[in-house]
Amino acid sequence: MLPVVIWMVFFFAIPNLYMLFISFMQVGGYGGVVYHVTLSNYGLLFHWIEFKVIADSLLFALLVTLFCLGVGYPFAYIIATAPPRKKIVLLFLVIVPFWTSSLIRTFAMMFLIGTEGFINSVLLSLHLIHQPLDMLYTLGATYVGQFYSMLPYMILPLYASLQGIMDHPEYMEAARDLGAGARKTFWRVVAPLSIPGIATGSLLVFIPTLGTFFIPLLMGGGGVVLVGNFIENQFLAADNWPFGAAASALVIAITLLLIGFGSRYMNNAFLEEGK
Amino acid sequence: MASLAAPPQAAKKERAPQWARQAIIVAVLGFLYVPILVLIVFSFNTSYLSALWTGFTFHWYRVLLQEPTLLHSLGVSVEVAIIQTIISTILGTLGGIALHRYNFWGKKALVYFLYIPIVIPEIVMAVALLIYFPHVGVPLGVPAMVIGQTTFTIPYVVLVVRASMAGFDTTLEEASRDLGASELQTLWRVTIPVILPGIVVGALLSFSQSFDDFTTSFFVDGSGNTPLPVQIYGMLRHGVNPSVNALSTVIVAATLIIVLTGQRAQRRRAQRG
Repeated sequence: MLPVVIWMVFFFAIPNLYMLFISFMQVGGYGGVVYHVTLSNYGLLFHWIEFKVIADSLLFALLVTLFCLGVGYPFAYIIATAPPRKKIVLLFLVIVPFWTSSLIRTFAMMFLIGTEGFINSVLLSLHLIHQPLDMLYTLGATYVGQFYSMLPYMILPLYASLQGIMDHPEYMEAARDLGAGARKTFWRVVAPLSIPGIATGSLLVFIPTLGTFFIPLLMGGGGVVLVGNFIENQFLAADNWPFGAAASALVIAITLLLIGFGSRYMNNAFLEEGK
Repeated sequence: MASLAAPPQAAKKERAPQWARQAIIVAVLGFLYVPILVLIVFSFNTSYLSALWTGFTFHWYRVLLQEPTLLHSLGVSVEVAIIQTIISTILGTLGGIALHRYNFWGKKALVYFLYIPIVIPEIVMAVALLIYFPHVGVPLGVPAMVIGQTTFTIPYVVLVVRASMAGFDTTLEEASRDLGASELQTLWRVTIPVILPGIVVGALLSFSQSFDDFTTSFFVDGSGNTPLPVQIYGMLRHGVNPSVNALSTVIVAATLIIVLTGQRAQRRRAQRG
Protein backbone atom coordinates (compact mmCIF):
# COMPACT_ATOMS: atom_id res chain seq x y z
CA MET A 1 0.00 0.00 0.00
CA LEU A 2 2.75 2.36 0.98
CA PRO A 3 4.35 2.74 -2.49
CA VAL A 4 0.99 3.70 -4.01
CA VAL A 5 0.36 6.27 -1.30
CA ILE A 6 3.83 7.77 -1.72
CA TRP A 7 3.35 7.97 -5.50
CA MET A 8 -0.04 9.63 -5.16
CA VAL A 9 1.19 12.12 -2.58
CA PHE A 10 4.17 13.15 -4.70
CA PHE A 11 2.58 13.19 -8.12
CA PHE A 12 -1.02 13.96 -7.31
CA ALA A 13 -1.58 15.68 -3.98
CA ILE A 14 1.48 17.94 -3.86
CA PRO A 15 1.19 19.15 -7.50
CA ASN A 16 -2.43 20.09 -6.92
CA LEU A 17 -1.67 21.84 -3.63
CA TYR A 18 1.16 23.67 -5.37
CA MET A 19 -1.29 24.81 -8.03
CA LEU A 20 -3.66 26.00 -5.31
CA PHE A 21 -0.75 27.95 -3.82
CA ILE A 22 0.10 29.51 -7.21
CA SER A 23 -3.53 30.56 -7.64
CA PHE A 24 -3.08 32.98 -4.73
CA MET A 25 0.06 34.56 -6.23
CA GLN A 26 0.45 37.49 -8.61
CA VAL A 27 1.53 37.30 -12.20
CA GLY A 28 4.80 39.02 -13.13
CA GLY A 29 5.26 41.52 -15.94
CA TYR A 30 6.75 38.92 -18.29
CA GLY A 31 4.54 36.01 -17.35
CA GLY A 32 6.45 34.74 -14.31
CA VAL A 33 4.98 34.21 -10.86
CA VAL A 34 5.49 36.90 -8.21
CA TYR A 35 5.20 35.55 -4.68
CA HIS A 36 2.77 38.09 -3.27
CA VAL A 37 -0.45 36.78 -1.81
CA THR A 38 -3.55 38.05 -3.59
CA LEU A 39 -7.15 37.11 -4.10
CA SER A 40 -7.40 39.01 -7.37
CA ASN A 41 -7.18 35.88 -9.55
CA TYR A 42 -10.40 34.62 -8.02
CA GLY A 43 -11.94 38.07 -8.24
CA LEU A 44 -11.15 38.17 -11.96
CA LEU A 45 -12.91 34.84 -12.50
CA PHE A 46 -16.16 36.54 -11.62
CA HIS A 47 -15.77 39.27 -14.19
CA TRP A 48 -18.30 39.05 -16.95
CA ILE A 49 -16.21 37.39 -19.72
CA GLU A 50 -14.56 34.75 -17.56
CA PHE A 51 -17.72 34.10 -15.64
CA LYS A 52 -19.55 33.52 -18.90
CA VAL A 53 -16.97 30.87 -19.87
CA ILE A 54 -17.56 29.06 -16.59
CA ALA A 55 -21.35 29.35 -16.81
CA ASP A 56 -21.25 28.15 -20.46
CA SER A 57 -19.13 25.17 -19.42
CA LEU A 58 -21.50 24.20 -16.61
CA LEU A 59 -24.50 24.47 -18.94
CA PHE A 60 -22.66 22.49 -21.63
CA ALA A 61 -21.77 19.71 -19.17
CA LEU A 62 -25.31 19.64 -17.77
CA LEU A 63 -26.98 19.35 -21.18
CA VAL A 64 -24.54 16.71 -22.44
CA THR A 65 -25.18 14.71 -19.25
CA LEU A 66 -28.95 14.96 -19.72
CA PHE A 67 -28.70 13.89 -23.39
CA CYS A 68 -26.54 10.92 -22.41
CA LEU A 69 -28.98 9.97 -19.68
CA GLY A 70 -31.98 10.31 -22.00
CA VAL A 71 -30.47 8.09 -24.67
CA GLY A 72 -28.38 5.87 -22.42
CA TYR A 73 -31.09 4.83 -19.98
CA PRO A 74 -33.46 3.16 -22.47
CA PHE A 75 -30.51 1.51 -24.15
CA ALA A 76 -29.02 0.21 -20.88
CA TYR A 77 -32.49 -1.06 -19.95
CA ILE A 78 -32.74 -2.91 -23.24
CA ILE A 79 -29.34 -4.55 -22.67
CA ALA A 80 -30.22 -5.55 -19.10
CA THR A 81 -33.49 -7.17 -20.18
CA ALA A 82 -32.18 -8.80 -23.38
CA PRO A 83 -31.79 -12.59 -23.71
CA PRO A 84 -28.29 -13.76 -22.58
CA ARG A 85 -26.74 -14.27 -26.02
CA LYS A 86 -27.95 -10.93 -27.35
CA LYS A 87 -26.88 -9.24 -24.11
CA ILE A 88 -23.26 -10.31 -24.57
CA VAL A 89 -23.20 -8.94 -28.13
CA LEU A 90 -24.83 -5.60 -27.18
CA LEU A 91 -22.52 -5.16 -24.19
CA PHE A 92 -19.47 -5.87 -26.33
CA LEU A 93 -20.66 -3.29 -28.87
CA VAL A 94 -20.79 -0.62 -26.13
CA ILE A 95 -17.43 -1.61 -24.62
CA VAL A 96 -15.51 -1.24 -27.91
CA PRO A 97 -16.22 2.52 -28.29
CA PHE A 98 -15.59 2.89 -24.52
CA TRP A 99 -12.02 1.67 -25.13
CA THR A 100 -11.47 3.46 -28.45
CA SER A 101 -9.43 6.68 -28.37
CA SER A 102 -11.82 9.62 -28.05
CA LEU A 103 -9.52 11.67 -30.28
CA ILE A 104 -10.05 9.19 -33.10
CA ARG A 105 -13.77 9.02 -32.45
CA THR A 106 -13.85 12.82 -32.61
CA PHE A 107 -12.01 12.69 -35.92
CA ALA A 108 -14.55 10.14 -37.21
CA MET A 109 -17.33 12.59 -36.37
CA MET A 110 -15.42 15.44 -38.09
CA PHE A 111 -15.03 13.30 -41.19
CA LEU A 112 -18.75 12.56 -41.18
CA ILE A 113 -20.12 16.10 -40.80
CA GLY A 114 -17.30 18.26 -42.24
CA THR A 115 -17.80 20.67 -45.15
CA GLU A 116 -16.13 18.13 -47.46
CA GLY A 117 -17.25 15.27 -45.25
CA PHE A 118 -19.29 12.20 -45.96
CA ILE A 119 -22.80 13.56 -45.35
CA ASN A 120 -22.22 16.68 -47.47
CA SER A 121 -20.64 14.62 -50.26
CA VAL A 122 -23.58 12.24 -50.37
CA LEU A 123 -26.21 15.00 -50.25
CA LEU A 124 -24.40 17.01 -52.94
CA SER A 125 -24.04 14.04 -55.26
CA LEU A 126 -27.74 13.23 -54.85
CA HIS A 127 -28.52 16.89 -55.69
CA LEU A 128 -30.49 17.24 -52.47
CA ILE A 129 -28.44 20.31 -51.62
CA HIS A 130 -26.43 22.66 -53.82
CA GLN A 131 -24.07 24.02 -51.19
CA PRO A 132 -22.38 22.04 -48.44
CA LEU A 133 -24.13 22.43 -45.08
CA ASP A 134 -22.09 24.17 -42.37
CA MET A 135 -22.35 21.52 -39.68
CA LEU A 136 -18.78 21.30 -38.39
CA TYR A 137 -17.17 24.17 -36.43
CA THR A 138 -20.38 25.11 -34.64
CA LEU A 139 -21.61 24.89 -31.07
CA GLY A 140 -24.03 22.16 -32.18
CA ALA A 141 -21.13 20.11 -33.54
CA THR A 142 -19.36 20.48 -30.19
CA TYR A 143 -22.43 19.09 -28.43
CA VAL A 144 -22.63 16.18 -30.86
CA GLY A 145 -18.91 15.43 -30.51
CA GLN A 146 -18.97 15.50 -26.71
CA PHE A 147 -22.17 13.43 -26.56
CA TYR A 148 -20.68 10.92 -28.99
CA SER A 149 -17.53 10.67 -26.89
CA MET A 150 -19.29 10.29 -23.51
CA LEU A 151 -22.30 8.07 -24.28
CA PRO A 152 -20.60 4.74 -23.42
CA TYR A 153 -19.56 6.19 -20.02
CA MET A 154 -23.24 6.65 -19.23
CA ILE A 155 -24.49 3.34 -20.61
CA LEU A 156 -22.05 1.05 -18.78
CA PRO A 157 -22.76 2.11 -15.14
CA LEU A 158 -26.49 2.30 -15.90
CA TYR A 159 -26.36 -1.22 -17.29
CA ALA A 160 -24.47 -2.49 -14.21
CA SER A 161 -27.11 -0.99 -11.94
CA LEU A 162 -30.13 -2.22 -13.96
CA GLN A 163 -28.63 -5.69 -14.31
CA GLY A 164 -28.35 -5.84 -10.52
CA ILE A 165 -32.09 -5.11 -10.30
CA MET A 166 -32.99 -7.66 -12.99
CA ASP A 167 -31.05 -10.29 -11.04
CA HIS A 168 -33.71 -9.94 -8.34
CA PRO A 169 -37.00 -10.40 -10.22
CA GLU A 170 -38.80 -10.78 -6.89
CA TYR A 171 -38.93 -6.96 -6.52
CA MET A 172 -40.83 -6.59 -9.77
CA GLU A 173 -42.99 -9.63 -9.02
CA ALA A 174 -43.92 -8.20 -5.64
CA ALA A 175 -44.98 -4.93 -7.29
CA ARG A 176 -47.07 -6.79 -9.84
CA ASP A 177 -48.64 -9.02 -7.18
CA LEU A 178 -49.68 -5.89 -5.38
CA GLY A 179 -51.48 -4.78 -8.52
CA ALA A 180 -49.02 -2.39 -10.15
CA GLY A 181 -48.95 -2.31 -13.95
CA ALA A 182 -45.76 -2.44 -16.01
CA ARG A 183 -45.46 1.34 -16.10
CA LYS A 184 -46.06 1.78 -12.40
CA THR A 185 -43.62 -1.05 -11.59
CA PHE A 186 -40.95 0.72 -13.59
CA TRP A 187 -41.47 4.17 -12.08
CA ARG A 188 -42.01 3.03 -8.49
CA VAL A 189 -39.56 0.10 -8.29
CA VAL A 190 -36.98 -0.08 -11.08
CA ALA A 191 -36.26 3.63 -11.52
CA PRO A 192 -35.66 4.39 -7.81
CA LEU A 193 -33.44 1.31 -7.44
CA SER A 194 -31.36 2.45 -10.42
CA ILE A 195 -30.45 5.80 -8.85
CA PRO A 196 -26.89 4.59 -8.04
CA GLY A 197 -26.34 3.88 -11.74
CA ILE A 198 -27.78 7.26 -12.70
CA ALA A 199 -25.51 9.04 -10.19
CA THR A 200 -22.38 7.16 -11.25
CA GLY A 201 -23.03 7.59 -14.98
CA SER A 202 -23.90 11.26 -14.59
CA LEU A 203 -20.68 12.00 -12.68
CA LEU A 204 -18.60 10.03 -15.19
CA VAL A 205 -20.08 12.19 -17.97
CA PHE A 206 -20.47 15.57 -16.26
CA ILE A 207 -16.97 15.93 -14.76
CA PRO A 208 -14.85 15.07 -17.83
CA THR A 209 -17.22 17.19 -19.95
CA LEU A 210 -16.71 20.15 -17.63
CA GLY A 211 -12.95 19.93 -18.29
CA THR A 212 -13.18 18.98 -21.98
CA PHE A 213 -10.66 20.73 -24.13
CA PHE A 214 -9.82 19.19 -27.50
CA ILE A 215 -13.41 18.45 -28.57
CA PRO A 216 -14.45 22.16 -28.52
CA LEU A 217 -11.22 23.02 -30.38
CA LEU A 218 -11.71 20.41 -33.10
CA MET A 219 -15.51 20.41 -33.43
CA GLY A 220 -16.16 24.05 -32.47
CA GLY A 221 -13.29 25.40 -34.54
CA GLY A 222 -12.12 28.02 -32.04
CA GLY A 223 -15.51 29.69 -31.80
CA VAL A 224 -16.44 27.64 -28.76
CA VAL A 225 -14.42 28.48 -25.62
CA LEU A 226 -15.05 26.38 -22.53
CA VAL A 227 -13.19 26.43 -19.23
CA GLY A 228 -10.73 23.75 -20.41
CA ASN A 229 -9.76 25.95 -23.35
CA PHE A 230 -9.50 28.93 -21.02
CA ILE A 231 -7.10 27.04 -18.71
CA GLU A 232 -4.97 25.85 -21.64
CA ASN A 233 -4.81 29.40 -22.97
CA GLN A 234 -3.69 30.87 -19.62
CA PHE A 235 -0.89 28.32 -19.29
CA LEU A 236 0.36 27.96 -22.86
CA ALA A 237 -0.47 31.26 -24.58
CA ALA A 238 -1.28 34.10 -22.16
CA ASP A 239 1.42 33.00 -19.67
CA ASN A 240 -0.73 33.93 -16.72
CA TRP A 241 -0.23 30.88 -14.52
CA PRO A 242 -1.89 32.24 -11.37
CA PHE A 243 -5.08 33.07 -13.29
CA GLY A 244 -5.09 29.65 -14.98
CA ALA A 245 -4.41 28.01 -11.61
CA ALA A 246 -7.39 29.82 -10.06
CA ALA A 247 -9.66 28.54 -12.85
CA SER A 248 -8.27 25.01 -12.33
CA ALA A 249 -8.84 25.26 -8.59
CA LEU A 250 -12.45 26.28 -9.22
CA VAL A 251 -12.94 23.23 -11.48
CA ILE A 252 -11.42 20.96 -8.80
CA ALA A 253 -13.68 22.50 -6.16
CA ILE A 254 -16.79 21.86 -8.30
CA THR A 255 -15.57 18.31 -9.00
CA LEU A 256 -14.99 17.48 -5.33
CA LEU A 257 -18.35 18.98 -4.34
CA LEU A 258 -20.13 16.85 -6.92
CA ILE A 259 -18.28 13.69 -5.89
CA GLY A 260 -18.99 14.38 -2.23
CA PHE A 261 -22.65 14.92 -2.97
CA GLY A 262 -22.96 12.14 -5.56
CA SER A 263 -21.08 9.47 -3.63
CA ARG A 264 -24.06 9.06 -1.31
CA TYR A 265 -26.02 7.78 -4.27
CA MET A 266 -23.30 6.15 -6.34
CA ASN A 267 -22.83 2.46 -7.17
CA ASN A 268 -21.43 1.02 -4.00
CA ALA A 269 -19.29 -1.38 -5.99
CA PHE A 270 -17.37 1.64 -7.23
CA LEU A 271 -16.13 2.66 -3.83
CA GLU A 272 -16.90 -0.01 -1.29
CA GLU A 273 -15.24 -3.36 -0.82
CA GLY A 274 -16.10 -5.45 -3.88
CA LYS A 275 -17.81 -8.22 -1.92
CA MET B 1 -33.59 -1.69 -40.91
CA ALA B 2 -37.05 -2.72 -42.03
CA SER B 3 -36.31 -6.42 -41.65
CA LEU B 4 -35.07 -5.85 -38.09
CA ALA B 5 -38.13 -3.90 -37.09
CA ALA B 6 -40.83 -6.17 -38.50
CA PRO B 7 -41.84 -8.94 -36.10
CA PRO B 8 -44.53 -11.45 -37.15
CA GLN B 9 -48.24 -10.73 -36.83
CA ALA B 10 -48.72 -12.70 -33.61
CA ALA B 11 -48.34 -11.37 -30.04
CA LYS B 12 -50.17 -8.15 -30.64
CA LYS B 13 -49.66 -6.86 -27.10
CA GLU B 14 -45.87 -7.33 -27.21
CA ARG B 15 -45.43 -5.90 -30.67
CA ALA B 16 -45.22 -2.21 -29.92
CA PRO B 17 -42.46 -2.42 -27.27
CA GLN B 18 -40.55 -4.99 -29.32
CA TRP B 19 -40.64 -2.68 -32.32
CA ALA B 20 -39.49 0.26 -30.20
CA ARG B 21 -36.65 -1.79 -28.73
CA GLN B 22 -35.29 -2.68 -32.14
CA ALA B 23 -35.55 0.94 -33.27
CA ILE B 24 -33.59 2.16 -30.23
CA ILE B 25 -30.91 -0.51 -30.70
CA VAL B 26 -30.49 0.37 -34.37
CA ALA B 27 -30.40 4.12 -33.66
CA VAL B 28 -27.88 3.99 -30.80
CA LEU B 29 -25.56 1.43 -32.37
CA GLY B 30 -25.82 3.28 -35.69
CA PHE B 31 -24.86 6.52 -33.99
CA LEU B 32 -21.91 4.84 -32.24
CA TYR B 33 -20.64 2.92 -35.25
CA VAL B 34 -21.52 4.72 -38.50
CA PRO B 35 -18.84 7.43 -38.05
CA ILE B 36 -16.14 4.84 -37.34
CA LEU B 37 -17.22 2.56 -40.21
CA VAL B 38 -17.30 5.48 -42.68
CA LEU B 39 -13.83 6.46 -41.50
CA ILE B 40 -12.52 2.93 -42.05
CA VAL B 41 -14.13 2.52 -45.49
CA PHE B 42 -12.65 5.80 -46.71
CA SER B 43 -9.15 4.86 -45.60
CA PHE B 44 -9.24 2.56 -48.68
CA ASN B 45 -10.51 5.28 -51.05
CA THR B 46 -8.31 6.43 -53.97
CA SER B 47 -9.43 10.07 -53.92
CA TYR B 48 -7.35 12.50 -51.86
CA LEU B 49 -9.90 15.25 -51.46
CA SER B 50 -13.48 14.14 -51.50
CA ALA B 51 -15.46 11.79 -49.34
CA LEU B 52 -16.93 10.19 -52.46
CA TRP B 53 -15.98 6.66 -53.34
CA THR B 54 -13.62 6.59 -56.32
CA GLY B 55 -11.91 3.21 -56.02
CA PHE B 56 -10.09 0.82 -53.71
CA THR B 57 -6.45 1.27 -52.71
CA PHE B 58 -3.91 0.47 -49.97
CA HIS B 59 -1.99 3.61 -50.96
CA TRP B 60 -2.65 5.53 -47.69
CA TYR B 61 -1.30 2.68 -45.62
CA ARG B 62 1.89 2.72 -47.70
CA VAL B 63 2.10 6.50 -47.14
CA LEU B 64 1.98 5.89 -43.37
CA LEU B 65 4.96 3.57 -43.49
CA GLN B 66 7.00 6.21 -45.33
CA GLU B 67 6.25 8.93 -42.78
CA PRO B 68 9.27 9.16 -40.44
CA THR B 69 7.62 11.59 -37.99
CA LEU B 70 4.65 9.24 -37.55
CA LEU B 71 6.88 6.24 -36.99
CA HIS B 72 8.88 8.24 -34.45
CA SER B 73 5.66 9.25 -32.66
CA LEU B 74 4.51 5.64 -32.62
CA GLY B 75 7.83 4.71 -31.02
CA VAL B 76 7.42 7.39 -28.33
CA SER B 77 3.85 6.28 -27.58
CA VAL B 78 4.80 2.61 -27.30
CA GLU B 79 7.82 3.41 -25.09
CA VAL B 80 5.78 5.58 -22.71
CA ALA B 81 2.90 3.09 -22.64
CA ILE B 82 5.15 0.12 -21.82
CA ILE B 83 7.11 1.87 -19.05
CA GLN B 84 4.03 3.35 -17.39
CA THR B 85 2.09 0.06 -17.68
CA ILE B 86 4.87 -1.77 -15.82
CA ILE B 87 4.94 0.85 -13.03
CA SER B 88 1.18 1.17 -12.66
CA THR B 89 0.57 -2.58 -12.81
CA ILE B 90 3.09 -3.32 -10.04
CA LEU B 91 2.01 -0.45 -7.77
CA GLY B 92 -1.70 -0.91 -8.51
CA THR B 93 -1.61 -4.67 -7.89
CA LEU B 94 0.12 -4.23 -4.53
CA GLY B 95 -2.34 -1.48 -3.63
CA GLY B 96 -5.36 -3.55 -4.69
CA ILE B 97 -4.25 -6.58 -2.67
CA ALA B 98 -3.45 -4.46 0.39
CA LEU B 99 -6.80 -2.66 0.23
CA HIS B 100 -8.60 -5.96 0.17
CA ARG B 101 -6.59 -7.63 2.88
CA TYR B 102 -5.99 -5.01 5.53
CA ASN B 103 -8.27 -2.77 7.48
CA PHE B 104 -6.69 0.33 8.86
CA TRP B 105 -7.54 3.75 10.16
CA GLY B 106 -8.51 6.14 7.37
CA LYS B 107 -8.99 3.39 4.79
CA LYS B 108 -12.21 4.83 3.45
CA ALA B 109 -10.66 8.27 3.02
CA LEU B 110 -7.69 6.68 1.28
CA VAL B 111 -9.96 4.87 -1.18
CA TYR B 112 -11.68 8.16 -2.05
CA PHE B 113 -8.29 9.83 -2.44
CA LEU B 114 -7.08 7.05 -4.77
CA TYR B 115 -10.08 7.27 -7.05
CA ILE B 116 -10.10 11.06 -7.44
CA PRO B 117 -7.50 10.98 -10.26
CA ILE B 118 -9.95 8.90 -12.34
CA VAL B 119 -12.75 11.43 -12.16
CA ILE B 120 -10.95 14.76 -11.98
CA PRO B 121 -10.79 16.50 -15.41
CA GLU B 122 -7.50 15.50 -16.96
CA ILE B 123 -6.53 19.01 -18.02
CA VAL B 124 -6.44 20.17 -14.38
CA MET B 125 -3.98 17.41 -13.48
CA ALA B 126 -1.92 18.13 -16.59
CA VAL B 127 -1.37 21.82 -15.87
CA ALA B 128 -0.63 21.10 -12.19
CA LEU B 129 2.12 18.69 -13.25
CA LEU B 130 3.39 21.13 -15.88
CA ILE B 131 4.14 23.77 -13.25
CA TYR B 132 5.27 21.21 -10.62
CA PHE B 133 7.78 19.14 -12.62
CA PRO B 134 10.48 21.84 -12.98
CA HIS B 135 10.61 22.16 -9.17
CA VAL B 136 11.35 18.47 -8.63
CA GLY B 137 13.70 18.03 -11.58
CA VAL B 138 11.48 15.89 -13.78
CA PRO B 139 12.35 16.75 -17.40
CA LEU B 140 9.46 17.29 -19.81
CA GLY B 141 9.26 14.48 -22.34
CA VAL B 142 9.12 10.73 -21.77
CA PRO B 143 9.66 10.81 -17.95
CA ALA B 144 7.01 13.52 -17.48
CA MET B 145 4.50 11.64 -19.65
CA VAL B 146 5.18 8.37 -17.82
CA ILE B 147 4.61 9.97 -14.42
CA GLY B 148 1.59 12.00 -15.51
CA GLN B 149 -0.19 9.00 -17.01
CA THR B 150 0.75 6.57 -14.25
CA THR B 151 -1.02 8.85 -11.78
CA PHE B 152 -4.38 8.29 -13.44
CA THR B 153 -3.83 4.66 -14.51
CA ILE B 154 -2.86 3.31 -11.05
CA PRO B 155 -6.42 3.75 -9.72
CA TYR B 156 -7.79 1.65 -12.60
CA VAL B 157 -5.41 -1.19 -11.75
CA VAL B 158 -6.25 -0.89 -8.04
CA LEU B 159 -9.97 -1.00 -8.90
CA VAL B 160 -9.74 -4.10 -11.10
CA VAL B 161 -7.32 -6.02 -8.85
CA ARG B 162 -9.39 -5.25 -5.77
CA ALA B 163 -12.51 -6.51 -7.56
CA SER B 164 -10.79 -9.77 -8.51
CA MET B 165 -9.55 -10.21 -4.91
CA ALA B 166 -13.19 -10.21 -3.86
CA GLY B 167 -13.73 -13.65 -5.37
CA PHE B 168 -10.47 -14.93 -3.93
CA ASP B 169 -10.52 -17.91 -1.59
CA THR B 170 -8.30 -16.87 1.36
CA THR B 171 -7.99 -20.47 2.58
CA LEU B 172 -5.51 -20.94 -0.27
CA GLU B 173 -3.17 -18.42 1.36
CA GLU B 174 -3.66 -20.02 4.76
CA ALA B 175 -2.83 -23.42 3.29
CA SER B 176 0.32 -21.99 1.72
CA ARG B 177 1.44 -20.51 5.04
CA ASP B 178 0.63 -23.73 6.90
CA LEU B 179 2.91 -25.53 4.47
CA GLY B 180 5.74 -23.21 5.51
CA ALA B 181 5.76 -20.60 2.72
CA SER B 182 6.79 -17.05 3.65
CA GLU B 183 4.53 -14.02 3.05
CA LEU B 184 6.43 -13.14 -0.11
CA GLN B 185 6.38 -16.71 -1.43
CA THR B 186 2.65 -16.91 -0.78
CA LEU B 187 2.07 -13.65 -2.61
CA TRP B 188 4.17 -14.65 -5.61
CA ARG B 189 3.27 -18.35 -5.86
CA VAL B 190 -0.37 -18.36 -4.73
CA THR B 191 -2.13 -14.97 -4.66
CA ILE B 192 -0.79 -13.44 -7.86
CA PRO B 193 -1.29 -16.52 -10.09
CA VAL B 194 -4.91 -16.79 -8.94
CA ILE B 195 -5.78 -13.15 -9.60
CA LEU B 196 -3.63 -12.97 -12.74
CA PRO B 197 -6.62 -12.50 -15.11
CA GLY B 198 -7.60 -9.41 -13.11
CA ILE B 199 -4.04 -8.09 -13.25
CA VAL B 200 -3.97 -8.64 -17.03
CA VAL B 201 -7.20 -6.67 -17.45
CA GLY B 202 -5.77 -3.86 -15.29
CA ALA B 203 -2.55 -3.81 -17.32
CA LEU B 204 -4.45 -3.74 -20.64
CA LEU B 205 -6.64 -0.92 -19.39
CA SER B 206 -3.56 0.96 -18.24
CA PHE B 207 -1.76 0.40 -21.57
CA SER B 208 -4.67 1.55 -23.70
CA GLN B 209 -5.32 4.60 -21.49
CA SER B 210 -1.69 5.58 -21.91
CA PHE B 211 -1.48 4.86 -25.62
CA ASP B 212 -4.61 6.93 -26.29
CA ASP B 213 -3.73 9.72 -23.88
CA PHE B 214 -3.86 13.13 -25.45
CA THR B 215 -4.39 15.76 -22.77
CA THR B 216 -1.56 14.99 -20.32
CA SER B 217 0.91 14.34 -23.14
CA PHE B 218 -0.07 17.53 -24.93
CA PHE B 219 1.07 19.58 -21.92
CA VAL B 220 4.17 17.73 -20.75
CA ASP B 221 5.67 16.08 -23.86
CA GLY B 222 8.39 18.71 -24.27
CA SER B 223 9.92 19.05 -27.73
CA GLY B 224 10.99 16.21 -29.99
CA ASN B 225 8.93 13.61 -28.11
CA THR B 226 5.53 14.03 -29.74
CA PRO B 227 3.47 10.91 -29.01
CA LEU B 228 1.01 9.59 -31.59
CA PRO B 229 -2.23 11.19 -30.29
CA VAL B 230 -0.61 14.64 -30.14
CA GLN B 231 0.77 14.08 -33.65
CA ILE B 232 -2.70 13.09 -34.91
CA TYR B 233 -4.18 16.17 -33.26
CA GLY B 234 -1.66 18.33 -35.14
CA MET B 235 -2.63 16.63 -38.42
CA LEU B 236 -6.33 17.26 -37.72
CA ARG B 237 -5.73 20.93 -37.08
CA HIS B 238 -3.87 21.29 -40.37
CA GLY B 239 -6.57 19.72 -42.47
CA VAL B 240 -7.55 16.13 -42.94
CA ASN B 241 -6.11 13.70 -45.46
CA PRO B 242 -6.82 10.01 -46.01
CA SER B 243 -3.63 8.83 -44.31
CA VAL B 244 -5.17 9.99 -41.02
CA ASN B 245 -8.07 7.65 -41.84
CA ALA B 246 -5.60 4.85 -42.43
CA LEU B 247 -3.76 5.56 -39.18
CA SER B 248 -7.05 5.70 -37.26
CA THR B 249 -8.12 2.39 -38.79
CA VAL B 250 -4.91 0.76 -37.58
CA ILE B 251 -5.45 2.13 -34.06
CA VAL B 252 -9.11 1.03 -33.99
CA ALA B 253 -8.03 -2.47 -35.08
CA ALA B 254 -5.41 -2.55 -32.31
CA THR B 255 -8.05 -1.41 -29.79
CA LEU B 256 -10.36 -4.21 -30.89
CA ILE B 257 -7.58 -6.76 -30.29
CA ILE B 258 -6.95 -5.35 -26.81
CA VAL B 259 -10.67 -5.48 -25.92
CA LEU B 260 -10.98 -9.07 -27.14
CA THR B 261 -7.89 -10.08 -25.13
CA GLY B 262 -9.34 -8.39 -22.04
CA GLN B 263 -12.70 -10.11 -22.50
CA ARG B 264 -10.99 -13.50 -22.79
CA ALA B 265 -8.99 -12.88 -19.62
CA GLN B 266 -12.20 -11.89 -17.81
CA ARG B 267 -14.06 -14.96 -19.06
CA ARG B 268 -11.24 -17.14 -17.79
CA ARG B 269 -11.57 -15.39 -14.45
CA ALA B 270 -15.32 -15.99 -14.43
CA GLN B 271 -14.83 -19.68 -15.22
CA ARG B 272 -12.36 -20.08 -12.37
CA GLY B 273 -14.49 -18.16 -9.92
